[in-house]
Amino acid sequence: MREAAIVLRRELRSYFVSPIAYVFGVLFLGVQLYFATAGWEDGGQASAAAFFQLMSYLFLLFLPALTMRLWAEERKLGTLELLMTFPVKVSHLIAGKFFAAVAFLALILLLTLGVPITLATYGNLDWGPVIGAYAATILMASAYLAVGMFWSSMTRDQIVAMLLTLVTLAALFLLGFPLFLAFVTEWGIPAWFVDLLEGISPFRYFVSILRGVVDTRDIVYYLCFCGFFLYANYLVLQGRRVKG
Amino acid sequence: MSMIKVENLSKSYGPAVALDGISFEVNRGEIVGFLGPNGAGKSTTMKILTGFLLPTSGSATVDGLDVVEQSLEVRRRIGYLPESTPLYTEMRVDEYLRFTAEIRGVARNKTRSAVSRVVELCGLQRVVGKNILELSKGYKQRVGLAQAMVHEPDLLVLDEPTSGLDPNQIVEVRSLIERLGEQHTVILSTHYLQEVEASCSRVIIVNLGRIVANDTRDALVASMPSGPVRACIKGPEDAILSQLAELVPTETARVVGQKNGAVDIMLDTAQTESDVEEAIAALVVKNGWGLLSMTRQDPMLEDVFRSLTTTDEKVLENA
Amino acid sequence: MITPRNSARDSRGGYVLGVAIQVVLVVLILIMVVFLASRMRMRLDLTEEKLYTLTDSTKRVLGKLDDRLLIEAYFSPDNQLSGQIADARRALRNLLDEYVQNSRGRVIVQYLDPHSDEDIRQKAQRIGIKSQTMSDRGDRTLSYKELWQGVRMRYGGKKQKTIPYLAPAIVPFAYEAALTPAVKALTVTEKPKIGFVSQPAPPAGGGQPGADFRALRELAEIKDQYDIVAHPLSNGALIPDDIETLMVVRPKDLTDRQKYVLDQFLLRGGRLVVFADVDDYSIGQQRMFNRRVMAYDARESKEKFLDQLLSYGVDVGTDILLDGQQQAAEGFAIMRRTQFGIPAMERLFYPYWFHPMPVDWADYADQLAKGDDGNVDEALADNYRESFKPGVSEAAKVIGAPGFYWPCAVDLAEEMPAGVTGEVLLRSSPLALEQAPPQNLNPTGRGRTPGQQQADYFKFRQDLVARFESEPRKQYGLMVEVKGDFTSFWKGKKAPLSPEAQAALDAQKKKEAEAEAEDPLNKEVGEDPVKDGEEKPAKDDDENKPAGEDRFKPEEVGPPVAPGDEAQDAEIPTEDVLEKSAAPGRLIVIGDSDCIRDDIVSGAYARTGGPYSRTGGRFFVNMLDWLAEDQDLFDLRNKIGVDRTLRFSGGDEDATGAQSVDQVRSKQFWVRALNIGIPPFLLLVFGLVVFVRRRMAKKTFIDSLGS
Repeated sequence: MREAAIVLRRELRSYFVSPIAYVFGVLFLGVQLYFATAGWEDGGQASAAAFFQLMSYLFLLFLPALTMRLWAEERKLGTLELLMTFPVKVSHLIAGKFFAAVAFLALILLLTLGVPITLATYGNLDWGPVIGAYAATILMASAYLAVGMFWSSMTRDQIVAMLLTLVTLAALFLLGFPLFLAFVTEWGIPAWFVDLLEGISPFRYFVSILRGVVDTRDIVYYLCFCGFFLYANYLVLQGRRVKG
Repeated sequence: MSMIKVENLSKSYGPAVALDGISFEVNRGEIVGFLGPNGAGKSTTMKILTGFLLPTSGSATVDGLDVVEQSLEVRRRIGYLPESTPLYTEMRVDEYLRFTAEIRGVARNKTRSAVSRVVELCGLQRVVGKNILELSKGYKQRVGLAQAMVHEPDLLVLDEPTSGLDPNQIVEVRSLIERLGEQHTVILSTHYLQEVEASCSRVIIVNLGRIVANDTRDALVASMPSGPVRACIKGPEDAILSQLAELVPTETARVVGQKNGAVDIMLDTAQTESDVEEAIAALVVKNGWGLLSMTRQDPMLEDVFRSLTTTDEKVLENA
Repeated sequence: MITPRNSARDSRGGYVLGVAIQVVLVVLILIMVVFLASRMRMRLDLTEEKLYTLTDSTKRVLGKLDDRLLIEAYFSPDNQLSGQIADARRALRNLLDEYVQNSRGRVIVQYLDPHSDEDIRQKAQRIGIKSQTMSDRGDRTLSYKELWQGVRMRYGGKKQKTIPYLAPAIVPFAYEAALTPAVKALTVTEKPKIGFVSQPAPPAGGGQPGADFRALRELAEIKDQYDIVAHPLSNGALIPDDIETLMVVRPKDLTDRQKYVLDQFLLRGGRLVVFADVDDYSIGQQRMFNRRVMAYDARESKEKFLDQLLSYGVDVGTDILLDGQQQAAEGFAIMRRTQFGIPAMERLFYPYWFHPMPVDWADYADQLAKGDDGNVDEALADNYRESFKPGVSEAAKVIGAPGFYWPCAVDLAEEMPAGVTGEVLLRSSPLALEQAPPQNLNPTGRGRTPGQQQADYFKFRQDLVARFESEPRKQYGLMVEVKGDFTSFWKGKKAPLSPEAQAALDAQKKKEAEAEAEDPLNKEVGEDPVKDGEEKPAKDDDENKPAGEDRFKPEEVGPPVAPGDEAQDAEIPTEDVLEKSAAPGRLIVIGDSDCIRDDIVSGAYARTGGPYSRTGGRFFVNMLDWLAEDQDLFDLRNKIGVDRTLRFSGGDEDATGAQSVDQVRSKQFWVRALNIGIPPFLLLVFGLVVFVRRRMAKKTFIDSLGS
């Protein structure tokens, strides 16, 4: 665990000593806050649901850019070889990088706290769902990050990693999108399979936490989703040891 | 007690065979040079030793520990400088060294002293506060060496530590490695022969995934047939050649030049005839010619290398 | 985790196979875990209103089931639903599961699919289940274009109740609000009777449809539990004994007889609720205000209703009450053109519409006692601390507070009658003022142009400020409860005759007149018919009296019957005046009736600029239950109606602080700008901190090298 913490620290440092954190952060916060506050008006509702909904879409676009470099850059620079010969388990390397990305994102989320605080100042905001939504956003973002990290480990080209992540997330998004499911149903695909497809999409599990209900099933789903992609990531890195 | 013991190690990348059952041992305190043309399997061997790659078959132990089964333990004992010296360029030298010290298990309160030790050892004092991105190639190489030794490993594995450096830098790095060899076991790979000649106590020559030679430098050279004899004799050319033909097979002697009435003759002695110089001298004295110079070229490591690697190719071609 | 290391030694193919097996294993395990997790779910509801948790109401109602409750759910099958409807169905199924779990085995749910079986379909239609045709919108995908989602409940094999269609809802509470009252209705064995007296405000100023008090009493939830008897006062008879609660909404033109009936109802131990109101205001065309002068008393009546209430211990004001507390007030909407020419609703500060605030005003004593110079008048502050009370009393918390619209003050009488205790349940803020009902209550005056309106509004604000500065701070009551043994308002007075008695008397008078004409000697008998009524020459056969009269017939009351009179007065029905409570009664007076007016409760009035009483309906139903001492459904009702409106206009502590439209707009702009600007700025500041710390770490490190 010590090693994972060291990797995490180095990763976090590299976010903040390079322009990545600032370009990503300022762009994301700017876009997110601009659109999320556009609906504020006297007599409106003090609810942050739309804010988090928007965030889940924006993450779709922004997070692949954050994760694309995680392994691809290491591979390109050759530092991956050195990293993998340090006396650190691969799982710890993955954990360090993954949680560094999550922590970075949590910091960005922390900076959006002004929105609920403003809503609570000018209206009667229910903090319960807001806290739930922050937790849900972290979980969902973690799922995105796990996917992005997996693709980053598959290639040494960051752009390719980003595009593959984008495509994967878009596909998962579609699976949770009613219009698409309706379309699929028309093809005559059996209902249980459509249910299964819908069950895979991380978007469905987002809504209930967003509403303020923490359901163990949703949390377990997200943990399994992350777990699966991190495990796949592990296999890819271990596979490097075999393939060279 | 041997530091490294490799037995019948093989590695193939798909259909391509990179290592074909090599076996060798390295003793504690040795500096071993790994010599071979590009693609011979030097880097592959090192990557297996450091745990980055898994062997296809065979076994390798470091300090008695299996590189596959006890990989973490092995990695803890090794300092590794990969080929082309990958570094995190956005970090400063001190940050980077501290990171490598920590991740290699140096206790937190000792990282500072460990880092300052290698900074001094590798002569990094002037650049320690700089971003790695700004460093010259030579300094980057030294940072790479520094990170490999920051945890005082038992074994240093250096993959082409001098490639891409200018001659001055090469000299610096070489002397650094020699100093390291006083305390550590070092295994370094190179395709520069001089490097091995300069700093290694033992040479392992690999070619096409096999070890073709493994001995001390002197022993290797000694095993070579002696070099040609070159004599500059003043006298009538025909007489000299005919006389010499009695001494050695005619086809080995040829005239390479003539100057001031003297004949420059090269005698390729395939067989080891250590007394051929004496016989020539006696011949000159007997005929009253003048012997202007006579030298015998000793075999170089380069010759060993060339003969070993080229013959192998020929063998393979024939097969 | 298993590593592929071991297989790596053998062969590449072996490795790939090993990895493949592992991946399949891991996927299977993960699916199992997710499946198990969805089976053994634990849910934590973070919402303030506990929107996703079964209310105590439902648990209580289910706990009271003493027979089997079969819920027949006529549902379109789940696998034919998707998107939001599927989510909504999931919520409904979860809720029904929870009903079963909380019913000690009494609730059984039976799912029936009307699509699969024509018999089921016909049966569903027969019992009143209605399917809903789905719109063809993309996000509502359904294989069948009709959605069945209705239930029939059968309780104990006897009673049954059908809910034709449960509209899909994400928040399960929406279903609960429909199901639990229905279950409750099935378990009600006897519905208490509620008398309901109302004076609908006539459509004024171009017509204000729905300005009645009909909608609330016709709510299914109320009808299931209570039997509403409309206008029991109209025939002048005494209130039947089986009516326990009597609601008098907007009392108007009451005759003495009607007042007497109310008096006697209260004294017999009834629960009397009065929604009093001063003059009636309404908003007509062009936001013009119409005022209709209200009179509690009929022109010919001799007694004043307010005096009657005062005699019970309730002091009802005759002025209109306004509350200057910014947060308490509900905005007055006007249409205004924005700079782009788009009409938009603006809300002006309007103190005549307000809500009692659930804060303890004593806590604000210091703030309120602050003079112009900013110094706190300590003596005054102490006085305030003593006298100021919470806007919503503990007792009223279960009922909740409605909004008050053009209300009047209702307080306890200064001298409470003997045997009666009282409590003020709802109060205004200390910034309230009273005002004689003005002709025009439009804050923007009568001006037609925006400029005039602005000027009028400014003057309106200035007048308010002037009053606030000159007058002392005072809280007014808005809802009062008095209970105990009342003394009749008619004690020692002549009680008004019942219509029968009056008719009989008239007839007798006529007869006497005739008799007098025939026999002038009989003159004295007919001289004072009223006196006869007052003395109530009792008759032993009470056939003409209301059924419940006997029980309360106090034997000691009433003068002995003069035997001589008997024959003479045989045809005049008489009644006993109850001068002292036969059983403890309860009287609740609320200083407003608009809060339960149809168009204000439904929000229809808001469209023409009127107020919108979101909590009025809940207040009304809760009060019924509170009076009937049946609090089963309180939690269910109190869950709804949390006001989460954003108000950028608020924030100042007193009435003088309300901003103009432009101020609000500019505030809104800055709030938004800061929200967008500050976080990126903070991130950059964070970056700067990282940079500086990194520099410092470098310096200390290099220094340590030198030493």
